[in-house]
Amino acid sequence: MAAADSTIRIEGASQMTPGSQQVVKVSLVADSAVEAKEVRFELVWYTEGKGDREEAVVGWKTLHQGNLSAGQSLSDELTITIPASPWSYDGHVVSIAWAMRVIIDTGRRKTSFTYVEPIVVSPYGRPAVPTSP
Amino acid sequence: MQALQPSGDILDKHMSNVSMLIFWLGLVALAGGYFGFIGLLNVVLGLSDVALGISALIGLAFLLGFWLLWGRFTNWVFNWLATLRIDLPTVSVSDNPAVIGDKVDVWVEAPIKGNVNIDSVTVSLVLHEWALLNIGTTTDITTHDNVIVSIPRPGGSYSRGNKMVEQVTLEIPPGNMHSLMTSTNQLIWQVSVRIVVKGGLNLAPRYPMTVQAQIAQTEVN
Repeated sequence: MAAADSTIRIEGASQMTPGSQQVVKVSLVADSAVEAKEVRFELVWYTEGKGDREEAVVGWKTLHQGNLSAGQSLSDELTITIPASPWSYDGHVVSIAWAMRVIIDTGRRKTSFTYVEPIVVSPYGRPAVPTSP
Repeated sequence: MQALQPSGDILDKHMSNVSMLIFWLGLVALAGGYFGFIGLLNVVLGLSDVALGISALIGLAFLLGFWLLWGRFTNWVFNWLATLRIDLPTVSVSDNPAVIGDKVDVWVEAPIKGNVNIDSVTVSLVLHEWALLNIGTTTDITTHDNVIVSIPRPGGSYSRGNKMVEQVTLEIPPGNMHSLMTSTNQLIWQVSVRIVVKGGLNLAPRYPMTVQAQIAQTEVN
């Protein structure tokens, strides 16, 4: 069955301070059997805007290896350290975004499934923006 | 106090566009002249297809070389004209790298090479966004300038051998982003100095500096 037939939740703060430690709860219930190589959690930042997309995985953990049976559930509590930079940024041609994601990796791009939870990493509680005094 | 190095074009945008226009006009005129000449030869002498093909290849190679040299030459001429009476300013700052919230003292010094009337000097703090997009074999660069703070100063009359000196304080306001350098997405903090010269070409060099991902601590009394 498809990896998308799963219920995934990532619980944690939606706004995080650079350099802080955060506790994140990850849970997954496979609604049907899933052929998977592994299920992993990733903390990433990536660029958006007019340039080529760049992405960096700054933290990850393998939550499960192998297939998931129907009804099988996974649950994990992770402590993640948020890097000091880059901060979330909303610009005109360059933007920086952060996200936590759970990937059900089937070994094939077409059938793998990624659940994404956007977050803001900034000392301001919102993305940095060009600001005049 | 730390000296910053200029980067990129030293002319203001308007003059850069004029320089670019002259560059392209020269190139088009040369291409038109060359291929017009070959066409005329063909009409008068009745050149063979092989001779025409070879002439076209020679013309294209010649234009490519000219394209490379002519660009450098027009740039050099405009830069030389712009710095004929006033030299490229040196810029020093109190903090580099700086952090968000810092008040950065900026010193601008420009040696005067000939008598000159300066209308105004504007020192600005710019957050320059730069993005490179690869599309197939071509690359497309998009930029945007966020002028965070701009301090205009009146100019004056200067005689040869003197120095034009300006000192301003620029604040990097909280809420802003730190410097970012990746291969295709960059956020570059720059000190921009725009010198408007009466009857001459304006100078607008930029001096990149680094702003770290920190917020300045404020003293609490």
